Amino acid sequence: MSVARSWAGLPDEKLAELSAAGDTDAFAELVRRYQDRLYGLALRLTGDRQEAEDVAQEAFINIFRALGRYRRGERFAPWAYKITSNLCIDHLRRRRGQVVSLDAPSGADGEEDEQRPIPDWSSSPEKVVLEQEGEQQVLQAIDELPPNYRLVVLLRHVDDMTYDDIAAVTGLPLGTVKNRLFRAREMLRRKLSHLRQGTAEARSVST
Amino acid sequence: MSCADLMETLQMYVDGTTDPEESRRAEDHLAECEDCRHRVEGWRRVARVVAGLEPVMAPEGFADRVMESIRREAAVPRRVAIHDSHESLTVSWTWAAAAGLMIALGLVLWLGPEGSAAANVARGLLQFLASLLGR
Repeated sequence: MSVARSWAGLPDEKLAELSAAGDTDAFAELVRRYQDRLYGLALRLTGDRQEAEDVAQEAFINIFRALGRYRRGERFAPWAYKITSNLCIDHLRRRRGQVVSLDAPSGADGEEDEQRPIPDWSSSPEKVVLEQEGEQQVLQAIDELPPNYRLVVLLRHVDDMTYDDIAAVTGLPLGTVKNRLFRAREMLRRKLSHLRQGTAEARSVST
Repeated sequence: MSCADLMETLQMYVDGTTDPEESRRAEDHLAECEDCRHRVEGWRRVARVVAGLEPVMAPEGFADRVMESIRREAAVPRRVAIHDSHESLTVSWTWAAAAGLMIALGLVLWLGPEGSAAANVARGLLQFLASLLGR
């Protein structure tokens, strides 16, 4: 595609400035670059493909509308992630009109567990069943984390963000980011201690 | 130094953000503390499995759908809508101010002593306002 070729090599920040000046083609390139990451974050936070698509679409529209407030030289990625993650957290708060604690473990009582849909994060249905088994356990364990803890784990390990970037995305002080990450890791460590070799872990090691 | 004191350093060690001195402190502690060795290995395992999840791709046609909405929105001249609402707000405030002033002047005329200077000024202003609104 000619659009992809003409923007190649331009940093996200330059594209954001062009977009802010009304260049929708520059914004289309930002959408192309970020669609998998922001949709992925929405999917992993909401656990529902349709909701993730709606949230991610709304996030890009909000990003476009907020470009007037984008400061020249500000890094685009944490700024875009912040808008997206705020939207996801809002959706989780409003979901089915329930009051959902964003900091308390969601699987604390068995009743709530039964009502929760099994997260469907799979993007490749042809995957081998055995591989899915391990992956589903990891996904289930992450899904059981309180959303605010899930967010820091995903930003750190899926998006490979630094503590500073996570602080910028979440708006939390650095100390709180480290503390949440520590607690989230401890919860996951206990939940995944039984995970067998030959599952998601083995695949990640081999890649 | 206790395990609790080193927890932040150990976490940074796993994330590869420690300086050489902090790394040495973490390694010295790990060499002698089995609990922390298990903990750090567990964290590394968590990092591997989470990072090793199948990458998520946006659904087919997602970017096109987003851009369709964006282009539709960009085509709407937003300034007009903002200007219109601002103007109608200004006009309604003008009417409210005029009405308020007329009521105040009416009260002065009604309550004030007949033929006083205040009553004469109020009558004059009222006639002026009425002629403005009547235009």
